[in-house]
Amino acid sequence: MRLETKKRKPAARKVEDVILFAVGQARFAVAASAVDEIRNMEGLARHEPGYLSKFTKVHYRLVRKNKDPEKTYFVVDAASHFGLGKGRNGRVLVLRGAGAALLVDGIERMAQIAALVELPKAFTGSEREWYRGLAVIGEQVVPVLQPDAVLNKGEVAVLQAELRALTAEKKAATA
Amino acid sequence: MMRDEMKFVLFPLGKKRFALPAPKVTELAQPDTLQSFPHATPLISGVLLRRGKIIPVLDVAQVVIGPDAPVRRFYLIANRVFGRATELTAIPVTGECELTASELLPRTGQLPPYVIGLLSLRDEIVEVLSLEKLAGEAA
Repeated sequence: MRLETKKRKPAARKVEDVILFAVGQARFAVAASAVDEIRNMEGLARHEPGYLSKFTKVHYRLVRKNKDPEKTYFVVDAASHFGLGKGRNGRVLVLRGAGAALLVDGIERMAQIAALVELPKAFTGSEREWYRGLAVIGEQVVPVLQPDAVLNKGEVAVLQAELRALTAEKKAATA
Repeated sequence: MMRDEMKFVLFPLGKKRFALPAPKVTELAQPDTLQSFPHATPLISGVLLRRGKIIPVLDVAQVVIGPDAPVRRFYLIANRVFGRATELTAIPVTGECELTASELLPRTGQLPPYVIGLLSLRDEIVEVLSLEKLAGEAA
């Protein structure tokens, strides 16, 4: 009897498109699929932190009048988020679906990553929430952003409630 | 009577030498490019990319020597235990390392918990370190 051996197709290498961005001296990646739009600072309104000091990293609000005028995006300053001091603030990454956006110094380029490496166990701080893992791009190790860690849905809901209360307060004061 | 000798890797940090149990050490690496990114873990100064592997760098000198530790030129690559798993860790050291066989003497009560024992060599007493306890202490 002759056995036919099936030739296995080589497993397709799963590549992921990422956007590389800079904050201060640090470089990060974010999945291109997690970003809805990259825009400049135009249209940002200063956000005054409310009673929850946790959200001091939210510096601006954004309403995209041409795209989804009913929705307010809360813009997190990436330098504050990562504890990097003051950022130069040049570009806004509007994150898909989350009601959050990230203010970064600049966009470097697009890249493809073939593998996402788990963050080494030696890292035990907030970075375990900040990053999905690490990618090697060229000879450089780049952390890949966890978009939910910028602001999760619950945090966005709290910010929205805070904003509604603030708006109502202002209306009452002017009435 | 035969002494109960074990092997240790001695490494310099400034003027002092410290030791790690030899089975924990995998290699002494030449100076390499330290890459860093924002994080909040004490003692971790970045990562090395060696042969495609990402290795965190644990700067133990900050604890055992203090902030005035001299420039570290080499990296001692050792295994660090995390529960049932182990992970390579690079420890910046200031000079060449040495392999020695010696009896592990019990630590005295005055020493910090990350010192797991002592080696009595010709003209020096060397502290044997536990990476796990060191990192735990800094956290």
